[in-house]
Amino acid sequence: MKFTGNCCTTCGVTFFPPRALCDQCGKTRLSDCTLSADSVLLVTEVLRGPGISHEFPIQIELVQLTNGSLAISRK
Amino acid sequence: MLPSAKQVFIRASAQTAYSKRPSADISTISVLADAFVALLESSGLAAKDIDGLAVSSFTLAPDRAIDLAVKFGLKLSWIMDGGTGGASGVDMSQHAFRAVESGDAHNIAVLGGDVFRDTDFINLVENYNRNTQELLTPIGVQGPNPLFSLLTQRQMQEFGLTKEDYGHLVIHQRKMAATNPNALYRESLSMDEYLSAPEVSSPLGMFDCVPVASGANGVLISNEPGDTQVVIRKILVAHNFDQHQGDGTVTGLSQISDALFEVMDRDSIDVVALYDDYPAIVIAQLADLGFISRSTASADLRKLLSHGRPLMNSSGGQLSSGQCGAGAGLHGMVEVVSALCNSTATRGLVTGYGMVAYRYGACANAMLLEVIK
Repeated sequence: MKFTGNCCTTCGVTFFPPRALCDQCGKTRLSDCTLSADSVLLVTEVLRGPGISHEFPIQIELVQLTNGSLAISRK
Repeated sequence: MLPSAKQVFIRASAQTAYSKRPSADISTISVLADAFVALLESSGLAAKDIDGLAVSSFTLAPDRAIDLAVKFGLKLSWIMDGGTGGASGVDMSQHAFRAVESGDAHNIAVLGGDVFRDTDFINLVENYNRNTQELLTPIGVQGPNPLFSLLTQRQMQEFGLTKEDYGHLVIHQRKMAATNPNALYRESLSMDEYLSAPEVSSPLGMFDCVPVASGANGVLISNEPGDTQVVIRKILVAHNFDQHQGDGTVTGLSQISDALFEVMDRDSIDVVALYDDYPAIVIAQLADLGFISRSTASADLRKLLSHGRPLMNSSGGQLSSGQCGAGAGLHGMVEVVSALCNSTATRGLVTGYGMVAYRYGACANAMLLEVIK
């Protein structure tokens, strides 16, 4: 699983979800970077939603990325 | 927040009927107008006496607060568009408080409400913000239920809770809703019914998810009291406290709890309205505010519910009443003000929460109210 976050080319900090501003050094115009999922923490089976979806049920996961951030993924 | 030299009151509160399937004659503007008129009737004021307006609504667009002011015929010295959904009631009140305290305005109507038809709600949740549009909707996540099901799982692990623990909370709120004529669900609920309800997103069942409703709420913040003198004692806000790097089981209330209770002892509070879009968020807030301990959450929660003091979500909360969009940000405030005006309760606490930035709500705030003689 790959996720598109962004990174500060000045101080090297990576963010997910992407940020508009590096809170470490204040730089804007951060660069896209690809982050990988390191581990799956939790899974939920979604049986119904507010709208009609022919895809139900689906499995949604909480994963931890290599930079420590948490992300939502679909199994 | 600095000590206030001038008392600022909640002079009136109002709630329209909530509906699951709004009739054709109801619109977002009409429910907000109904709440506004109810504030006037309750306070004895006329529209010309209202010099401030704050509005929070997801479905009012393309109109804004100023358009509502024009449609209501108001001449204003203060105005605000509230953009924080479930936290908007307390957020708008924070600004309104300062406006009245400084003399910028004398009578501020704070309104929130929405009307949902057809695909309105699904369009809202699938396009809630850019993170939702770009990261969640494309993978089939429809609305916040899957996100809060993961949060609930995490909380169950960390707090040692079972489905029955959440059931006790939901059943308690349904019991409270019995006396609320505006609530969508007023019948009592048994544990069997709760546990056997259709599953939405494991472990959340139907009764763990707020019913979507149409309706509105309002409060009138004023330099003069109503028949019952309800004073705003303190308002604190903690948004994005963890830079959205947490797991959602701790809210911003954890950062403001100590300061909150410097003004009013926790044990002296009679009635609380905790933002309840999910039972897990009620429990997270109870822990953050020190009403329960994470290590003994199950026992603490059952004791709190059976003790009845502070009385929690006394009109049923949103889980029983329904969630009328951004109007939910004022639901708890109306609930507590009503309790303070119509019972022996003299001290109340209201929280706000919401605005799912990606995985959980980024907003949290709280307000303390007191009846003075």
